[in-house]
Amino acid sequence: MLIKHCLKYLFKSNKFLFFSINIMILITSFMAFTLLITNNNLETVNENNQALKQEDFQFLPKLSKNDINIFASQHQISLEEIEEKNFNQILFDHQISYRDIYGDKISGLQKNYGFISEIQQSKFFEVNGNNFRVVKNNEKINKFFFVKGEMAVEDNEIVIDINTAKKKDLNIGSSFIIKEKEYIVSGIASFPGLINPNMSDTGLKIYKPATSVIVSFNDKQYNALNEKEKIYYAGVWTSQKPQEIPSAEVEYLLEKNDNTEINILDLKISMNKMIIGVTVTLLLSIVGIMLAMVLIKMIQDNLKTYGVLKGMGYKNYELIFSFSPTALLLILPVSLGILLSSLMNNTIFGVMNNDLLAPYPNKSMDMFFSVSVVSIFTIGVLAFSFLIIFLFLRKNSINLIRETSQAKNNLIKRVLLKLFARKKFLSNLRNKFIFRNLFVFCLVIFSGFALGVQILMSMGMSGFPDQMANSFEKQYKYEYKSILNDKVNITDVKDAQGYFVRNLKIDSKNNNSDDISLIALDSNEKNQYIHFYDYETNKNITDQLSNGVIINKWFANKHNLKVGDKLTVYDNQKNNDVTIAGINLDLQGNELYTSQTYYEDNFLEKVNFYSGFYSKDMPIMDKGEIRQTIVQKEQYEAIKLNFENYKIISGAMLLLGMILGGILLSISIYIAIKTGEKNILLLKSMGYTNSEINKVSIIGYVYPLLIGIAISIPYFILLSKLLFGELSKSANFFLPMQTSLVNILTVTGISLLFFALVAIVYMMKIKKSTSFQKLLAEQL
Amino acid sequence: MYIIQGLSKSYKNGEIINQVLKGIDLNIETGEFITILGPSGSGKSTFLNILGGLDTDFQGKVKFFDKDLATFNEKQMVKFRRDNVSFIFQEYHLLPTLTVYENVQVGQYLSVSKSSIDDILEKVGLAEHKNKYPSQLSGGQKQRVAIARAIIKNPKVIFCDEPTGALDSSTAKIIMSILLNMNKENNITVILITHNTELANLSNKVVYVVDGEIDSVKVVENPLSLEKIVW
Repeated sequence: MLIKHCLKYLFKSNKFLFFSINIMILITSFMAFTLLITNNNLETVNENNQALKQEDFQFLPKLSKNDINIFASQHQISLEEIEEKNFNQILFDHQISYRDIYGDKISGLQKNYGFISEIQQSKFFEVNGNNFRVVKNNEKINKFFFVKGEMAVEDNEIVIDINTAKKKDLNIGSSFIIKEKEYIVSGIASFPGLINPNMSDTGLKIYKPATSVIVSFNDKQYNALNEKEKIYYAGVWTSQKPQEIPSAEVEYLLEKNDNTEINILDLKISMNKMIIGVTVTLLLSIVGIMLAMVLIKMIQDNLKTYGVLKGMGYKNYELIFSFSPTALLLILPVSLGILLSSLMNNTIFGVMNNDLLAPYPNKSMDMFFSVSVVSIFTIGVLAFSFLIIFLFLRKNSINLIRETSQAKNNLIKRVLLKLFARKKFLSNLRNKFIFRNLFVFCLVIFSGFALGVQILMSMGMSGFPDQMANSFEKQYKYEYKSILNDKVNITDVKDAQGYFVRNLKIDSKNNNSDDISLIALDSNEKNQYIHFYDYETNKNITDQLSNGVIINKWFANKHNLKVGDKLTVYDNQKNNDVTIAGINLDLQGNELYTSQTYYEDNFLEKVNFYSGFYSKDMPIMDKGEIRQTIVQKEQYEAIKLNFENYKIISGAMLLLGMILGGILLSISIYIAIKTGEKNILLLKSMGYTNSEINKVSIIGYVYPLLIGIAISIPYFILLSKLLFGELSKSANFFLPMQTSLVNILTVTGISLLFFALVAIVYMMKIKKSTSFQKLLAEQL
Repeated sequence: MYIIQGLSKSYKNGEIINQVLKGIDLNIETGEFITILGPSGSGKSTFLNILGGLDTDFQGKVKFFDKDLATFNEKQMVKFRRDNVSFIFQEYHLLPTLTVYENVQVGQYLSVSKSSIDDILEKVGLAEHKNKYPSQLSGGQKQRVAIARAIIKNPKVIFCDEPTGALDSSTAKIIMSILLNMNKENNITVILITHNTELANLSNKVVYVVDGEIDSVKVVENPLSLEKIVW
């Protein structure tokens, strides 16, 4: 009987409230689980990639002038031809294999440093907007992982990547045409050497997966391809303790840990964890508090009934347990949210991570975890409700029936009324209605606060991908960054700004050492391509390079550094103290910039050669002198593309956050109006006009709403300073949750718009309301 | 004051049509004290709601000083209630978040003359309770607040729906005496619904409503004084 009463209360008298809470919980559960599953999936992708990537490191042996001379004489190639042509082109023209040139060098390195290696070759070209990469078969390291079929043996056979097979619905025996030549699919595979097929040979430009294709032919067909080729050697350590190969021996060496493909994923996971940490915690706390307040309100609504039933002889536990169906019914939206999240995860993951290789992992949430969450939620709601009812039931039945709580005009109410005393009767009446029902007043404040925090957070998050890309574009004004192989004179390169890199360490707070790169910039006034801007003031601080080092915001936050602080940097040789001269706009990276003069004065050593240089024009230098040239535009595009997906997340979060905030606001206004419905009807029966009633009943709640928004602003600023600052320390980037005037105005505008929408709905309801029978029959 | 002709009202509950009022004709003069008697469900409250402008969905004519309530739009109906009518309910319907004084003030706001709240509270014997909240008052005190709130509006007519129904006899006497005084001193028309046939002896006119129709109208030439009523 009691349970029937409870259900009637939900489904008949409070349909809107019950429906809104369900939607609120559904959205929260969906959002929380989607973020958790996404993170699980990203970690799975990373684990898969780590497992697929069979190499420990990538490298290219360094050829000395003497090596090249020997090579030239062995193969009867003139030194002029070597000077003029691309080295790969020479090998191709003379039908010389890489083994011929690097063979002896590699054997020596393998023996000396304890590893095995294999050359990795791929050619790439573009056809009709599609980026093709043709990978040569590997025998020892980075062997293809065949999902179906086998290696291409015949000239017309082809192995394609899983992604393309899925996109184009290809299977073994399917026909595949490249440059008007038809191939038959002999195998579908993953290519461990190219776990991210979308990256250019510089490792910086990221192609869209939709237009990327990886294939493999037999060796004859591969060699016949007259296309640009990328080669590197893949190494696997055979000794237990890998040794450091000196830079004199190798052109470059890229450890697995330094692999951009894997690092990008690490960054994504790091960002995801942070977003999950912040969003889920904030979301759950807001929705949790709102749910608690709504449950208290539901219980308060039933106090008269409890009083009557208690008076009739019902026992406390019978009354307490009669509330169980309400709590148990809330399991439904939580479970539905988890289910929806599992069903939609593959699509959402695809949208959020369109730079990753499909097919995406589709890890549903662990059943045990899901059941545990639902159980904990249910137990929590039941325990909280039972406790509140128990506390109320300590009163005797008469007091429960009399609603004595409203009689108390406590200090807070008195202060509020005095503070907001108005001359106009209606304004005063409005204040009395609002302030004397502090619970509803607080509920509306909280909904304004929740809406404010939700929108501020979403807006803060949506800004950071742009901020990351913009800071790069604003500060790094070079067109090309060239990394030099050795002590090379760059005076021949027009308008170049040289830089010198020194890899050092600093001691971090947790007694570990962190690697840093100290970059000393050539400070000639003519060619300065790097201009730093202060993180806080946005003022140009480039001239501070001569007074110390300029660090980025992430680094400053991680090590609690501020301008003027001293930082000790060291290597095996010596320690040096450097002064923090500025904090720039960058949000990631362990690079510390200074001027060449500061470096020379502080480290007491002359910079005699540069590690690389920045330039406006593509450098024309001997190929042996430049290890790599990075195009600034590609770098910028890569940063943009990497973070672009997070705009989708933050956009979706903003939308869901606003829906959630709107629901919270609607619930609170609904409760406010429902609580005052009797007053409204009475005033109407007395002859108060609709506009007078609106003034004293609905419009008044705009003030607690604004109070809530006002509280949300400093709260959010504090939260972003403390919480995001702390979280950024463990992540590898700084999440700038900035609150600008525009954000504040937007939050206020959106909240007022929401309020206006909700208020209009209720005003219409009040206008139409002629249900005086309700009043007369005392049904409220 | 009121000319009521062929007043009918029906409720539709699914397929079933419930005829609550069936062609009521009645004239009410200014200053009258009218009692409406009748069994539960006879349509008394519905009749009262229509006269007071709370229920606008009816058939027939209800003229108030020659103006037909049926032709009033919402705005005119609000003005009609604001300027002319007050209600006193059996369940008091005070605003729980307002004090006694403030509850009366809600009525005062609607009147043009702005009578003194303190004077009215003095009249109904609640001067010392003016800062209390409704939940701190007895039933009789609450009803006196409701009366004070009703009369401060200076209405032309007060509708009382079982105002003493929830009160003991001595409290009910006090309430009735206030209503009678108000009727006599201020010439306010009082229309009272009650089950108590004894109370009918206090009024000028007694209307018996049975099953949605007026069974009889009895004009009382010499109403009894309050002291002579047996409760």
